[in-house]
Formats: sequence, C-alpha cells, structure tokens
Amino acid sequence: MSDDHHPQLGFIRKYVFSVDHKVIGIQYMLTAMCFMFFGLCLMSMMRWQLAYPGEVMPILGSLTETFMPGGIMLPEFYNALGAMHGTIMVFLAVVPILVGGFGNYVMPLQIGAPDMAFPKLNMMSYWVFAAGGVVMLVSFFVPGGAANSGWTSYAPLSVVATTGQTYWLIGMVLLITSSLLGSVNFIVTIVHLRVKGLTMFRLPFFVWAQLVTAFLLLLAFPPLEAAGLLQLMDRVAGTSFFMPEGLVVSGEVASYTGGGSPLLYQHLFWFLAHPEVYVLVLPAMGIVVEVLTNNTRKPLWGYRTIIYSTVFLGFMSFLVWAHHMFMTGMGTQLGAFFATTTMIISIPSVIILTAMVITLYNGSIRFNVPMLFALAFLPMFAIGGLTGLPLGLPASDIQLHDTYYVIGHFHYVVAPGTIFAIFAGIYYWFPKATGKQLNSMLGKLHFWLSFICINIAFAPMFWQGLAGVSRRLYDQTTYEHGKAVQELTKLSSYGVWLLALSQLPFILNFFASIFAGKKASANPWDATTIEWSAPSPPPHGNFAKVPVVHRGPYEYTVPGAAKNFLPQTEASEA
Amino acid sequence: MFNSKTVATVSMVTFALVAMSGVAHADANVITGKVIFKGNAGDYKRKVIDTSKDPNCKKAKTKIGSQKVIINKKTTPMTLRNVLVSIKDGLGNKMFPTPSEPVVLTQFGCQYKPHVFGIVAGQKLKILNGDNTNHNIHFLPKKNQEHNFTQPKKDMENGKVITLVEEDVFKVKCDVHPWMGCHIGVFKHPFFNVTGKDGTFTLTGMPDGTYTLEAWHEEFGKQTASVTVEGGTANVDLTFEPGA
Amino acid sequence: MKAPSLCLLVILAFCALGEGTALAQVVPDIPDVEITGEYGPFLPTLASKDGGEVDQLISILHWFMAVLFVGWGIFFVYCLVRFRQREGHQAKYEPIKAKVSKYGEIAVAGFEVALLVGLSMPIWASVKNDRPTEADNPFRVRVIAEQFQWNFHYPGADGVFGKTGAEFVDTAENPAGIDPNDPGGQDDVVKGELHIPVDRPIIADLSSKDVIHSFFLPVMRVKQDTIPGMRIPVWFEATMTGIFEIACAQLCGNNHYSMKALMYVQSEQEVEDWIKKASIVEEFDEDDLD
Ligand code: HEM
Ligand SMILES: [Cu+2]
Ligand SMILES: [Cu+2]
Repeated sequence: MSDDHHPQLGFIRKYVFSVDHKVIGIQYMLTAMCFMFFGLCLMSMMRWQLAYPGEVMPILGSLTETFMPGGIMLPEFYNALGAMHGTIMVFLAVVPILVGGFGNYVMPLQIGAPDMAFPKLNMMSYWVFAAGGVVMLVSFFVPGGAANSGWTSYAPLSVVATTGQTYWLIGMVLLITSSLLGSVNFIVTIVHLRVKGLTMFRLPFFVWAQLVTAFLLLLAFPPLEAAGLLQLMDRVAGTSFFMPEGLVVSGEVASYTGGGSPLLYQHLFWFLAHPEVYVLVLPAMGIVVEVLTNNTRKPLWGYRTIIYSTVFLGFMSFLVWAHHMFMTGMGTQLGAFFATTTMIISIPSVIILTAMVITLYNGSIRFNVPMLFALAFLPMFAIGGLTGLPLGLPASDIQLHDTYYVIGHFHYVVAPGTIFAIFAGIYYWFPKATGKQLNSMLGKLHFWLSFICINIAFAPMFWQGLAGVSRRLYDQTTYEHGKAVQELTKLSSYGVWLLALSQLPFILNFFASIFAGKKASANPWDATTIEWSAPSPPPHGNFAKVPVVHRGPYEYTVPGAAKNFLPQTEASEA
Repeated sequence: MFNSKTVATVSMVTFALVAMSGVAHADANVITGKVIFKGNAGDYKRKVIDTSKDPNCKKAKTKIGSQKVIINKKTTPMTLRNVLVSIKDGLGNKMFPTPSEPVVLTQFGCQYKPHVFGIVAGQKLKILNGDNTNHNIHFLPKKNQEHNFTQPKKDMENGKVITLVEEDVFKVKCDVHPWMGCHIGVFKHPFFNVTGKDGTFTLTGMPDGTYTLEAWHEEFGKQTASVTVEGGTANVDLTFEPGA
Repeated sequence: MKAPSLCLLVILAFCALGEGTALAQVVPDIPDVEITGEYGPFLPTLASKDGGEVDQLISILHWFMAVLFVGWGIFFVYCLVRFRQREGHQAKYEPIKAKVSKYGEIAVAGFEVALLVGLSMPIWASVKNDRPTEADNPFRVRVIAEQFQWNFHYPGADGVFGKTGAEFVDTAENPAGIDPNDPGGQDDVVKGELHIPVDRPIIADLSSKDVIHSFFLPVMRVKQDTIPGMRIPVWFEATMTGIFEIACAQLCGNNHYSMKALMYVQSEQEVEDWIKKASIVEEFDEDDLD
C-alpha cells in the first residue's frame, strides 16, 4: 500500500526534512546521543580539575588558551562547563532521547498508528530543537564563554552574567517551544490514533508513560518559558522582574528599581524543573517495563496499579517543587507542606519499583543485553530514590542541601537509572529500527564496564556530600572538609573517565552492526506488543495491513496457548 | 570578518600615509606641570587596608594604604598623586599612531600597578598576576566590553592581553579583593600622563597649538586648563580644591 | 577479556600523568591557622548545641535506607537466581498475591510519616521558630555577603547597628554601607572574620549585596541562603572553641569556590578584646606615597 499513498521522495525529503515519525525519531536519537557524549566529555574535563585542582590538563589542555591558559582551567570555564553539562544532559540529551527518540519511534508503532497525528508539527519540533542546540553550542564561542550560572540560572547572578547567558536563554526558549509542540502531538496521537481494540488499558506501559510525560511537559514548561523570557528582559531591556532594589554589584550601585524578587524566579524554575525530573524517569520506567516483561516471559505484575501510580506521580510532581528551596528562608508551614507532599510522592515511586521487582518473581528470566540494563536500572533507581529522602526532609536537608549528596542522588536517578534504561531501549529496539542485531558479546562488555564505572563515579559523591563539600565547586581543597575527601574525588574522576572509555564497545557495536550486523527477524525477542508485528525496519506508513488488537500488552506464557507468547494483534486461537 | 591582523595592517598603512602627509609628525613640544591640592590634607588621611582575608597579600608588603587620595605634603604647594592629565580639546581630527608596545597592568601585593593610567584605543593592554593568589579582574566600563575573568595563578610571562575602544575613565575591580581597584582612561591620542609622587606630569610630542587639558581624579572629579605650546615647552598647573 | 584491561591501563596511565604534573598552585595558601575539628568522609565535627538533632535524623534515615535497600536487594537477587531461564523451568502466568509487598509499602509509608512528623518537623520548627529571646542574651552580628567575600558587621560597644544604605557602600572602606552620619554606626566594626563567644546564643542576620549566596557553617549544621533584598536571621550556639570554616554553598560567580571565611569561637573576653582592637582605624604611613 505504501507506494500509492507515499510517492517516492527525494533524499532530502526522506531523510532530512522528513515527516515520517521513524526518521524523525532516529534524527532525534542520533542528535541527542551526540549531545549526551558531548555532555560526558565536558564532565570529563571538569573531573580533571576536581581531581587535580589547578594542574595542567593532559591532551585537552591546549584546547582553549582563553579559558585554559597554559592548560589550566579557569574557574569561569569550570562554571560554564558545569552549567552546560547540566543543560545539555537534561534538555538536549535525555529528554530528546526519551521523548523525541523513543517516544517518536516506538509510540506510534505500539498503538498501531501509521504516523503521528501531526507529522509536519513533528518535523517542526525536531528542527526547533536542533536550532536550540545550535544556539547552545554557539554560546561557547561568544565573549566571556557559555552561560556559567548553573543549569538553574538563578537570578540575580544570571542577570549580571556574561553574554553567554543571553544565548542560553534564547536556546532554552527554542528547546521549550520544541517540547511543547511535541507534547501536544503526543497527546493527540495517543488519544486518537489507537487501532481498533486497543483500549487505554491494553496500552503498553511505555505508551502510558509517554502520555503522562507529555502532560507534564505541556503543563510545566510554560512557566519556565515565561521565566526565561522575563529573565531575558531583565538582561537586555533593563526590566527588574527578578532584581530587587538596592543592589551593589561589583562595588557599583546597580540601577534596578521596582522591587523584583529573586525568589520568584526560583519558584517559576522549579515549578517546571521538578516535573521535569519525572519527565526524565517516567519514559525510562516505560522502557524498563517493556524489556522486563519481555524477558521474564510473564505478564507485568500490577499493570493497573502501575498506571494509576504513574498518573498520581505525574499529578503530585506539580506539588513538590519548593522542596528545592528549603534553604531560601522558608518558614514552617510551607516547609511542612512541601515535605509532606514530597513524602507522599515517594509512595507511588515505591509502588512502581515494587511491582517491577515482583514481576521477576515466578518469571523465567532471560539475561540478554537489554535485560541486563533494565535489571541494573532497578537497584540504581532504588539508590537514587532512597537518597532523596534525607533531601526531602527540611531538617536533614540543612546539612545536605547543595552538596555533592544532591549530585549523587539525582545522578543515580538519571545516569545509572535513566541512561541504563536508554541503553536497554537501544539494545531492545535496535533490531526493529535497523533490521540488524547488535552483537551481544560487545553489549555485555559494554554493560559490565559501564555498570562498574558508573558506580565508581557516583557512589563516592554521597560521602563527599556528607562531609559537606558543596556542588559547583571549582576547587574543593579550599576547605578543610574538602581536602579530607579529596581522594574520594579522585576515585570518582577515574570512574568518569573509565565510563567514557567504556562507551567505546558500544559505539563500535552500533556502527559495525548497522553495516555488518546479523539480520534480525521482525520479532527477534518473541515479544507481544504491536511494533513487533511490523516488518523490521517498518516502511513509511508502518503496517502493511491495519492491525487489530485482541488482548493486553503482556500475554506471555498464557496457560493453554500454543506459543510462549501471544502478540496483541494475533487473533485468538481458542 | 575583520580579524585583528587585517585591522592592524590597514591602520598601519593609514598611519604611514598620514605620517607622510605630515599632518601629525612627532613634534618636540612638551607640556609639563603639576596638580596642586588646596585644602585640609588632614581630612584625607589614608587608612591601612585590612588584607587579612587573604594572607598571600601580606607577602609582598606588610601594610598597604588606601589609594583614593594620595597627597604629597612635602611639596609646596601640596600636590596630588594619581591624577590622569590628558589633552581634551585642540587636536582637531588629527590621527596619531597607536603605540605597538603594550601597556602592562600588574597585580602585585594585591594592588593594581599602576593605580590610574591611560591607554591609546587599540593599544594592547597586558594584565599580569604577580601574586601567588587568585585575582578576578572585572572591567566596569560603559562602552567597552565588560571583561570579567580570573587569573588564579602567578603568571608574569603571558598574562591576558586585551584591547579597548575610546572611553572616559572607568573602573576595574578585583572581585576577590574588594579593596583592589584601578582606573583606565582610553584615548584617541597618546597625550596623557599620570601625576607621580611629586604631583607632576609631562605630555610630549603634540603639534603646535592651543589645547584644553583635562585632569581627572578618582575622588575629586575633573578640572580643565588651557595652554598654548609652540615649538618648545609650556607649563601649566591644575588645582583641585575640594569643597570650594 | 582483553579489551577492559587495556582500557584500564590506558586510563591509569592517563591518571598517572596527572600525578606528575603538579605545576601550579591555584588555591591561595591556606591561612597560617589550623582549623579545629575532624573532617572525613562522614559528617564533620559537631560544634553546636542543636546540630545533634540534625545528625541524629541523618543517621536514622541512613539506617532506614540501608535496611530497605538490603532487604529489597536480597529479594531482587533471590529472584534473579531462582527464576533464571533454564531447562525445565517455566514462568507462571498467574500473578502472585503479594500481601507482603503491600504491608511493606504501608510500613515504609508509616515510617516516613513518623520521621516527618516525629523528627523533621519538630527540628525544623525549632530551627525556624525558637529564636533566642532577650533573656537568653544573644550575641548579634550581621552577615553581609558579596561576590566573593563575607563581611561581618558588629554593633560595637554601644550594641547598636548603624544605619546602612546601598549609596554608602565603598567596597574597600565601607563594605557594609554604614551611614557615616549615623551616631549608632560610629563604633561599628566590619571585618572579614567572624568572632563569636562560645556557649551563648548567636543571632546572625544574613543579607546579600549582589547575588544569592548561602551561609554554610558545616560544623554548626547551619545553612541559609542569603538573598538580596531580604534579611534572614539564623541562630545557633557554639559549644566548643576553635577556628572553623564558613563556606558559600550557592554558586555566586567566578570565584564562588574561594568565598571562604574563618569563624573564631572564643571566650566572651577574647571576642570583646578582638572587637575593640578591630575598631581602631589604623592610619597609613604619611610619608609612604605608594
Ligand atoms: C553519565 C555521566 C555523568 C556524569 C559523570 C555526571 C557528573 C556530574 C557532576 C560531577 C556534576 C557536578 C558538577 C559540579 O557540581 O561542579 C554534575 C552536575 C549535573 N549533572 Fe551530571 N553527570 C552525568 C550525567 C548526567 C545526566 C544524564 C544528567 C541529566 C539528565 C545530568 C545532569 C546534571 C545536572 C542538571 C547537573 C547540575 C549542573 C549545575 O550544577 O548547574 N548529568 N554531573
Ligand atoms: Cu585580587
Ligand atoms: Cu558566594
């Protein structure tokens, strides 16, 4: 059918300005993977400065004479790298991979749709995102370098900062716009384009996760977009939304009047950025559930419970933002409110994680590469979640707020957590997207190296944090408590560098398999969800025949069935 | 598009042409004088700066004094140090070559040396750190770029080199050592000088003519005086009389 | 397994390279004072009266987390081993009735509530509300943060803080911006060191001149952002004398990392003497025109 509906397109329309959700998904995926590697490289440079403060950086030391004179990193460059690492990882790597990449590629296939509801809008999302990425990259080369006020860009620091901050704000406005376009598209697609028989409670959990995520993006991003624009006005148009009166900056009385509030910015920022954290984990959980059920060969335990928990989690994520702000002088009432909502939001997370582990019980667990990554997600996410407790209680947060404990906590969620889920997804859906299998020896090597190194990288941060070492610190040996844990910092740096090297088997595997990999069948994992009933790779339009759905998403080892698995699209035999 | 090399080449050629046409040849003219302080010097006692925050600052000199007002009471009349005297008017549209030698600003003993200075627009300004500590140089100009960078280690060889466009005197501050400040005036021409310990200044090489001189002091503001120089030396004094 | 060991070698060589090249000293030499207390990979020395509660909460929490994680981990590993795919083993379609997990979840929630209501809230309430009264005879100091230093403003002998205003600020000579015409400000002292008496409540009023900083006393378990346009008090009581560090815990610009000050916890008398000495304005040598 596809040829009648989709006339042959030229290379540009097919691969560059494509409206096909799969091409766009792959574009997102590849761009964002590059950004992720770039973010890791920035961090590898920072880790040198942290491990060996003020020493000449080998290899990369001669990169920039302005910011690393004589190969020694300057503090302003360190701050810029930190801010850009955070921004790039969150907005240019993880969200685009999870939503733009996996969401775009897999979600329409999993609901049996030929494409997204608004294919052109989809293309526009990608190109606006790409423009945002370019602006962020360009900002490294403007006078004063890239933005250096942290990924949070708290005013007034960000308002008085160098030119890079203006680029950061413009880049953010583009990225947010892209996400908003995408989220509308996702919601409409999931609500309207499901094939016959695919009720909401027959959706794979991954689609549910995408749906909730899209709502989070849609509702949380506008306040940040507003905050970004207001900050831009403060910087370039002389307004004072976030600038109080009576500032004396660098010895000069600053001309801000009108009594703006620095705290207003923080509220607007975290009203986005907390839901954003769930944007970073929910789709990851979605991937993990898909891989987990497929490789335990049994249905997901507590399918509805997980969905209800996810929806509740999404809702609650709008009510916890100020737990990032306990130390801004918050009183007891607000403190009690936000601590309580924070404890409440931990419950659905515990439930989801429990359900995933119970799914293992009575299963028949296959330890293939995607499964290894998905399994590793569980304890890593557990560590990340548990260490959130002391940060969510204002009293213990006094000591731990803004220390490396925080860095350790959220990285356990997003790095060994989300990134492992991303790898699980890549290894799992690679055969679908390319028609080739990834080499599993190299995959296992990649997994074990990454797993060990990432823990060496992040575990020491908890002890560093308890010791009182602040985050965003160019040189912790300024302080006695920093000097005391300098060895741990070095250890962590070794972990990061080894982690970067551990990606080599993956990169090798990725490209080698595309060109010379073993051919994959349409359904190499014996999976049940709809995307596996399309050819690998699916053509433009996806399905030769519009599929019809007969059952729920995870019908494995059904008693009495002929096969070990019952695809959603297969008519019942009985 | 325009990198500094092309700009430099173009300007050098221009200067050569200008010089050959004899518009602004180096004359032997000299304007000298002193900057006089009238008033009660007792009102401007210098305080010792508390540098205890950074013990490395003590290493160069155990005590440093406030730089704001430095009056030489030994001269008669009393004179003022650190006054930037320059030609404000009278040069017309003449152009003068930009010196190729850089102006050097050194951070030493947690003070800027010099504390006040002039520079020709486009001339190189080289900033060195002679202290075993971290400095953060923060330019606070109106027209120039707001440079804000650190020099975390002693570096007396390379330093940081920048150029500036013409601008009235502005402040440069260290964000690590709050007492550290210096003042830069950027001129189109090379006829400026800062008064020394004895309160005198010397401007040399301007063409014959009648000029308005401007003296700038960080605390007392500006004073002007008129002077004519023709094939020789002219002398003019400027006076600051606070409160008058 | 050749590849991983090769990677390891390369990286170790890379690291070794770093060890050898100690060329420059970025950090200013640490002042010639010895910092009191013990520092290591756990909470640093505790030197305040109420900080113990925070420590207690942190330690209870970590035991709780450890128990949960280990318990959960055992179940996880058990599942991986017991239910691995192998000859003659099949998955079961029917979901198990996981009563245990439900009770477990309820227990976790219960424990969280207990921690929140039983420990965190009372501690937070006392941190926020139990301001020392006049009867406690608190020692008062103002803390004014700026890029990149801490200024400590003492009221001097009269116990009155002079009026301040942005227009009076001179970074070198009047960092707090004390009104020179206000009689209350004449004997005020503004220095970059914090000197406080031991065993007496301290009330520190925090403010900032430019951007957001955070006043962090690791040994006191005190942390509070200083926010421009706001004046936020914190209070604590030191229980041991010594010299401790004050850190800035919020990114505030290029030299955030070096925004450190020293806190001297001393006897009443020593503090008084120091303030007296600090209030004398020393005049610079008249003949030195440098
Ligand atoms: C996988 C390798 C990663 C490593 C080794 C790493 C390491 C670090 C470290 C050491 C810091 C602290 C820097 C400092 O405080 O000076 C940091 C900050 C941060 N990281 Fe990562 N990270 C990784 C991945 C990620 C990912 C995947 C995300 C997000 C999804 C992320 C988001 C952030 C953010 C938001 C910050 C805070 C930046 C700031 O202070 O403004 N990182 N990272
Ligand atoms: Cu300095
Ligand atoms: Cu600070």
